[in-house]
Amino acid sequence: MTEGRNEISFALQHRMDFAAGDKPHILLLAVGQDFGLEMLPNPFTPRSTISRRALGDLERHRLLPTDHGARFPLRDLSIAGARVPDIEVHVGGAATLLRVDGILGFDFFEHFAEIRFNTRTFVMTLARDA
Amino acid sequence: MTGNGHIEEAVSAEEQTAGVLMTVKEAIAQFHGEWVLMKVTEYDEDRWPSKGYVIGHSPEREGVSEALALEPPRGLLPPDAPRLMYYVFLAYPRARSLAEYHAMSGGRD
Repeated sequence: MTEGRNEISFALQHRMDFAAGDKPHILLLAVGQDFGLEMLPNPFTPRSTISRRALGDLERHRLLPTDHGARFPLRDLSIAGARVPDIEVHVGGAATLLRVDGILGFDFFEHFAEIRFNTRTFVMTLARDA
Repeated sequence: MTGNGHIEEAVSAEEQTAGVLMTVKEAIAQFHGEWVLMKVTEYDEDRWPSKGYVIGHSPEREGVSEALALEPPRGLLPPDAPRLMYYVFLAYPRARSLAEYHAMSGGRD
């Protein structure tokens, strides 16, 4: 959405899934030019996770190194066109339960000094260290 | 079945290879509650996908992964090869602000 020298801003969407009762706020995390992953931002969970299905999709398209262990590096990432740090994820059941591709945890948000979320516009802003 | 199996097969085959061009909103309306696999051609002002080729849809997440597996592996394409982003989404309406959220909730929260 916007990228300044010290912060990036992007719009979240709120999926109105009444049937399942899981209406998460989600952001779109792009992996290179190839995949858009719908991720739930949760800076209060320590580790980022990904669903087994999303992981399988990335593996089949050779977008993960073949020699990975239990944690999988996601590289060349961007949100709304703004580059963001690479992360390592592991497979987590919560993403599948919430029917998202993954969860962005504190290991992602710790790269930023401050997180702001406008509850009126659903715009999240991540400020880098000064 | 409509009684014309050949036509249904032809449409299905076309969907498998080229996909059907539609907006995300149209896909949400047409495949409500299903998982949708789209090759994105356009983005909105917030850089969310807004239009693309629907190349698969299924009530189960696994169904779109199977459709995605039929696509050529992206990791093997040359870096400068033209490519459209794959986007898997659950076809439910999206609120983009608190006002939209309340309007779409309609007191169901």
